[in-house]
Amino acid sequence: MKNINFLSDAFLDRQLRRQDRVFLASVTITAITVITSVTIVMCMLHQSVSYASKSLDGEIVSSQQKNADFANLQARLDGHDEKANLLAYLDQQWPISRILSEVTAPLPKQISLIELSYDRNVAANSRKGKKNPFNSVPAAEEDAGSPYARELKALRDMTESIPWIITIEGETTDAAVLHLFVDKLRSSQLFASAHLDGFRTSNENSDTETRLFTLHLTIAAGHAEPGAPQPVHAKEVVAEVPSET
Amino acid sequence: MKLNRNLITIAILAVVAVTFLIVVARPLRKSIASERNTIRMKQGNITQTMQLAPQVTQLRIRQKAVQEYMSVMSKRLPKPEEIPAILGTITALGTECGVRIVDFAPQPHVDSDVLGQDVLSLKVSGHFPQIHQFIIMIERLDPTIWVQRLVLTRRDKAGVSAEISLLIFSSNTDFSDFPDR
Repeated sequence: MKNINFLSDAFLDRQLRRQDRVFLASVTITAITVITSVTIVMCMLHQSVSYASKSLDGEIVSSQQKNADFANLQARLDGHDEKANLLAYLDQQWPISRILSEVTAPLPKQISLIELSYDRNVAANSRKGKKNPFNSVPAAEEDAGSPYARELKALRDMTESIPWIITIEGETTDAAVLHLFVDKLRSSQLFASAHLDGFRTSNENSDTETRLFTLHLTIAAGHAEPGAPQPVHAKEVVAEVPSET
Repeated sequence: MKLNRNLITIAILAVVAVTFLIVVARPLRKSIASERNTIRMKQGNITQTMQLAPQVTQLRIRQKAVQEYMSVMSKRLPKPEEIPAILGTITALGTECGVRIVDFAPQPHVDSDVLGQDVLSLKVSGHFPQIHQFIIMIERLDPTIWVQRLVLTRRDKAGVSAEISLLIFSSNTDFSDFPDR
């Protein structure tokens, strides 16, 4: 069967053109619609993101203020820590009255003291040029600290540069009792060492032989000094840390 | 001819689309990405600041503790002008304890950066318990006083003489100064 087209060429041509126009129009409209939609969506997205970003500005200013306050508070506390350290150091020296009690309370009657002396010349006018052997910080670095830190450093240089030694001269009628006495002092927490400097007979003609002695007591390091005993609570904290193995 | 017209139209549309991509879409995408990064950064900053809250609380607690400590301890450092009164108190303590003050020699006041220092050299005599009590009373005084030198010498059966050098600290600055913000 043969397919015969009865339509004229002119009609067919017009129909084809119409279809082309429709096609082009729909493609153009679709393209413009797509481009416009995408533009609108992107603009809206941009606007909403910009708005969200701007809305955070207030919080950011407030958080920057908080950060600045925190840093400021930290810096001021650090400065006051130096003041507090100086005050604490001034307050934490061993009281000499306690040391005297420690020496004289267990004094047996066979021993009598002739002289007890020590000299720690720590006043500011006498401490020029003295340096703490436990401190390895260079001089230029030390000078850069606050006046409180420098003052504390100067005090520490003076008090810790030489050991605090008490010299006791006395006499005894019983050397064994003296040794027990020295041993008792040695076991005291106040004294780092007790060193007996030998005996000299003082009165050979008397019925009871009296011997002169010299005793050197080194005072133990106080709180916040090099070699000072650790506070008890610090030891407890260390003991509570569980082992990893 | 028809084909050419279609191609030209499609080519124009393609050029418009590419131009749109280059001129509008790409910069907008970049701008949006940049804004999102900024938001992320801001949110990070805000979160970090919020995490500081417990630390700030801790600092406030520490500040209060330091303030209290300073206000108590600063009383232990008198002003240099209070030193004469302290010397008077020490003399009165000597009398109260029954020691005899043989020599009373205050040294010139010395200033360092923040502390003032006054050395008082004393020679006293009495019984050992009296001198011991005198030293205890001096150490219990509010001002910070270090006994920097001590020579106790037996004079006779009960009598003792003592050379005592006291270092009295004073304050050249206000240690309790802690302005609140």
